[in-house]
Amino acid sequence: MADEMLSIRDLEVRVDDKPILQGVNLQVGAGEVHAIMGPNGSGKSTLAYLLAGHPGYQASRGEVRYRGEDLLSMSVEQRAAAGVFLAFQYPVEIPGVSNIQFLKSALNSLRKQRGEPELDAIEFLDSVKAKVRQMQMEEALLYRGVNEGFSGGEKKSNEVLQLLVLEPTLAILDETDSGLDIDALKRVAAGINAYRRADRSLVLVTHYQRLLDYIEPDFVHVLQGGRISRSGGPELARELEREGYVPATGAQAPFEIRETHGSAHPQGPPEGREGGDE
Amino acid sequence: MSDPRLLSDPPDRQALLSELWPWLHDFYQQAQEAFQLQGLPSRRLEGWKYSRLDALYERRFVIPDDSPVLGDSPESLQENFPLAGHQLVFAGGRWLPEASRIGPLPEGARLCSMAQALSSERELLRYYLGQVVSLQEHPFAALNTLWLEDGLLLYLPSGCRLEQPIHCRFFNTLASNTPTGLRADGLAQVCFPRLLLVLEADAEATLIEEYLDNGEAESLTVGLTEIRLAEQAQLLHCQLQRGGQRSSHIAGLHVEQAAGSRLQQFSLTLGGAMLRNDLQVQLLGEGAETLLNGLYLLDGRQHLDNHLRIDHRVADCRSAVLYKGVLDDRAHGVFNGLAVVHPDAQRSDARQVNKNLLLSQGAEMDTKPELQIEADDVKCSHGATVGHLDSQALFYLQSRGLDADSARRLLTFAFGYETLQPLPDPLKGWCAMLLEQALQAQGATDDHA
Ligand SMILES: Nc1ncnc2c1ncn2[C@@H]1O[C@H](COP(=O)(O)OP(=O)(O)OP(=O)(O)O)[C@@H](O)[C@H]1O
Ligand SMILES: [Mg+2]
Repeated sequence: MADEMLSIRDLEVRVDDKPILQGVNLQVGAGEVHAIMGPNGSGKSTLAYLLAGHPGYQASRGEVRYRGEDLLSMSVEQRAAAGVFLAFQYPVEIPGVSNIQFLKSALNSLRKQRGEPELDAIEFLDSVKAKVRQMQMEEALLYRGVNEGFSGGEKKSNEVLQLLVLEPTLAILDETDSGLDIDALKRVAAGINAYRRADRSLVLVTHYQRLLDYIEPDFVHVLQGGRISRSGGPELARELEREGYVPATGAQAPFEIRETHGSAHPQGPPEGREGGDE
Repeated sequence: MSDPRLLSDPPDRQALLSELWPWLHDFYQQAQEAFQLQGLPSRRLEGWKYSRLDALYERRFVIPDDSPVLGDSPESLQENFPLAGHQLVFAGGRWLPEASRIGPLPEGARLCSMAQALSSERELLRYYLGQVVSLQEHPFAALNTLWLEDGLLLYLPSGCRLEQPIHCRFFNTLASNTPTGLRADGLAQVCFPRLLLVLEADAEATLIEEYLDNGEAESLTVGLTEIRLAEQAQLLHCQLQRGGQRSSHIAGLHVEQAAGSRLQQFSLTLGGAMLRNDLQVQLLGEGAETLLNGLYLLDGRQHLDNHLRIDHRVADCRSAVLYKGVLDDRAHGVFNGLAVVHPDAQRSDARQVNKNLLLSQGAEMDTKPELQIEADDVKCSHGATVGHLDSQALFYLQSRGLDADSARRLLTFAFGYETLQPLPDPLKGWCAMLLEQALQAQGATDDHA
């Protein structure tokens, strides 16, 4: 078994008093790739935000350890300095702060918190430009406001660029593959693969097998009904792609109701959240 | 004359005037009448309802009677001038020749202190002084005129392009000759700097008015700047307010623009107690253009009142106003912008935007951009916002490693930087640095969790 990177035990998260996560358990070892799938609204982004420390998401129960430390007691920036990175499902636009200035402030803050000296400006620029080329991004994006007016695909590439520049230890990528065209998906996947190392772990939140064709996961989990309802190997993702999400145990009712209405595809996932969490 | 309540011991101006500048007598008389009619404005007047002037009226101020000496001047005096060019230093309203440096000037150009001009440029002053401002409508302009003594004259003849910028630095309490700026007699100082800028056709200049006070002493500056731009003249004008905790500034900036002329004005307010800026632009010739940007950073109990009025009197002129503010603690800001498009001013393009960031519960902003349109073929727009820092953007920055204060500072800086954008370097870089420093200082005194 690989060294432990992330350990989530019995995690409960409520938003506006509504339980979203209701007892999530997950172990991620160093060097491992975990894919988290699950229906819309099942709480995947909630889990990602909670791990990154978003002030709007607090654990009401449970424990999260990151490399043995109590992650939930750390501030957002401490988590970042300790090597936790979240690629946002919806990257934020920050007009007026140029992308390059942003990357530089971020990297230098991380280095400062770790007690490392600031980077030499020229070295920094050279290394960022090399990574921009690696991602096949336009260099001009470095000088625009952070994500300001970026296309959907450019925003996602920009998240991966940050991943490559900031070099975290645990990267949680929330639907970084959504909204990418076929070539962009390949480039983004190549960027993510370049980041991988035996001492770095990846948590990929995704809806599609096609990302996993490029980045083979060690484990695939289904988040449903507030819990990890199933876990398996890469074959689980292919099964889900074929058959959709099987309802969480004890929640057969919606399907029977559908059948009485004459649904031709009883196994198709209903819209929105599934039974079982209400 | 009526004793302006502000002054504890008004010197006998009438005597001084008839002795030194008898030719100013009529002008002075007008100012006196105008001031007597209006008196000091009270909060009952619409245009003054937010200005917290009452406390100032309670105070007794004194005009420093000694000529300022440099002696033990505060460090800020030694603060380097950021731009190579003409540098003029004033203290307690008076020009300090030994601290100033006026470089060689093109043929026909005049750049000198107002006190010098009063003796040696009578013809120019007689012709231009007080022509742009209506003393009947601006009581503090009348007051400034009553106490006219020093300041600056810039006159550029046709086609004269001043390559180097003019930087005027005004200290108020410095003249008390103590490091803290406090006077031995405990009185607060007032000064009345007067600037007159006349650019004839095709002339070009850059002028910076910087008001700087970092002492602990209470002070008041009642300044007035008149600007006249003839056909195709171009002026870049910056007003920087970097006053101390207890320095107040009532500033009037009155402009007339002829056809094809262009004014780019930037007002940066980073310090001061009670601040009031009246900026009035008359677009009198076709194709004149005026771009007014402003940025204010207020905290503590600072009060700033920005009143702008732009008159489009003829066709095809353009005005664009972008004012942005960041207010913290219990600061109070007012933006009152009025663009008037007169009946003949077809194809006017008038835009006004005021955006504000409130960083605390106690901060307050009153904003009122207004349009008054009497022509039918115009492009006009106005808008105002008062908001808070984007919490998702803050989280995004923090998730990349920035601490909460740096993230806030970066977002605030980005918010304000837009107003600096049109400035040329190195002026832009210097203003950006001042903004950065002010944000650092503001962050340092904050108690955000
Ligand atoms: N800030 C919030 N306020 C109110 N409800 C919220 C908030 N954040 C999340 N929720 C709710 O929590 C549930 C889970 O949302 P979340 O974004 O985590 O889902 P998801 O699994 O990432 O979905 P998707 O696949 O569509 O991205 C949803 O019902 C959502 O509406
Ligand atoms: Mg999501």
